[in-house]
Amino acid sequence: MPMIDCVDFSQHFSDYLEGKVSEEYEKLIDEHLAACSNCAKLLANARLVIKSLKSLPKITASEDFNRVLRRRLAQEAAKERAAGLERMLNTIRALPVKPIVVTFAAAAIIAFAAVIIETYVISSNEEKVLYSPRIKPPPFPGSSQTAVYQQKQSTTGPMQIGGFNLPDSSSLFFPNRTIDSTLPETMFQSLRDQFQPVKIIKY
Amino acid sequence: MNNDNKNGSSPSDEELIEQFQHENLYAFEEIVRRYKDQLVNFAYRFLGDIGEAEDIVQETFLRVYRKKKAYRNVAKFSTWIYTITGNLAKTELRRRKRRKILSVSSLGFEDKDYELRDGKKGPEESVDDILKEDIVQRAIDSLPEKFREVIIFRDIQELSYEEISSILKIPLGTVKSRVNRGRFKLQEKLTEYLKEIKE
Repeated sequence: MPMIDCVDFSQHFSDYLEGKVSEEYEKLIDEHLAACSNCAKLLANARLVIKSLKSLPKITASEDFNRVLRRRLAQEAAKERAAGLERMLNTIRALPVKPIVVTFAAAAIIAFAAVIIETYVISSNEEKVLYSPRIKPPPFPGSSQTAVYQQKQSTTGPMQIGGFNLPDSSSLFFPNRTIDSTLPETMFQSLRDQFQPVKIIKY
Repeated sequence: MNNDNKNGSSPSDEELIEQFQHENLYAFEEIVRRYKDQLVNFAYRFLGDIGEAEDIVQETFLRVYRKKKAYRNVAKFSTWIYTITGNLAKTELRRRKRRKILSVSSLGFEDKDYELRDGKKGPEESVDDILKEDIVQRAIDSLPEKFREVIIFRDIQELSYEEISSILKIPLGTVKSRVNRGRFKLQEKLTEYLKEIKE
């Protein structure tokens, strides 16, 4: 193999730095570096640059990252609901019936929406899951109720769902390890043994 | 990133997103927990602004939440989520450039007053360390976008060339060549700093 020059070296110096050139080529580069002080200096500087980059401190998310994300997800869910209602209203408006009927129907829907939003968004505190309105609440005696659950004291060790350990702290959806019963049915079943109801909320 | 365990105690990223696609909110939480810090670090190094970096990572998770069904298990999850963050960061950078052009009072890079990363510093981080970090960060900020992204992916986030190639959707050879040139450019910008740290 012929000797390499500065241009050859500059094209392969990252591979050389990371040990990704063949043994044969590595020898040729070593020979070139022994003879060329410019390239040797370039290589030494590159090593320093990479070292400086690798030693930059790792920036982490702020402490209220989860709280802000939770709020934005809630806003997103509310927006989705509003869009759904808007679609429904447009459908109603398009119906071939008298305007007064449409007005009453629209008023009824808006009233219903207000109750839903009050229940799921405005009155919700951090204990509630905001994102599963489509899931039916699990059966409780007295039916039209939902319940807030907390981890049973008797439960020890990390809680699990679907074979996964639950996060220990700064939970996004279930801060303070409190959940409500609007969880998906399958998830609720597996959590039921680990939680107990602490608050009953009437619709 | 976590892709090496399928026995249930530590699910891979791909298993988590699949769980989330089946409405498991805990899986989404775990994804946030695994990725928020590394994505904030990436976005901060790319944009040089911690507020914007956090906003972009928040938006990334909102998109993952909204478009969870769009993920197909043909690529690594990390590739998918880094692509989202990278695209958002690039959009922010372009928006910033447009604002700069439109603003009569805007200052050029050389004139810009940089603020050091906020006063909080780790226990082992001295003022000197923070100043050095600032010099390196300024040099990164001054790199053209296409070199900046590969340098951050390779030398700060320590992703493989193959993964960078998938995230940026450019050939492997192009990634290597950009890393190479990016390192040369950084050397030029850090000439004084390099002299200082050699002493």
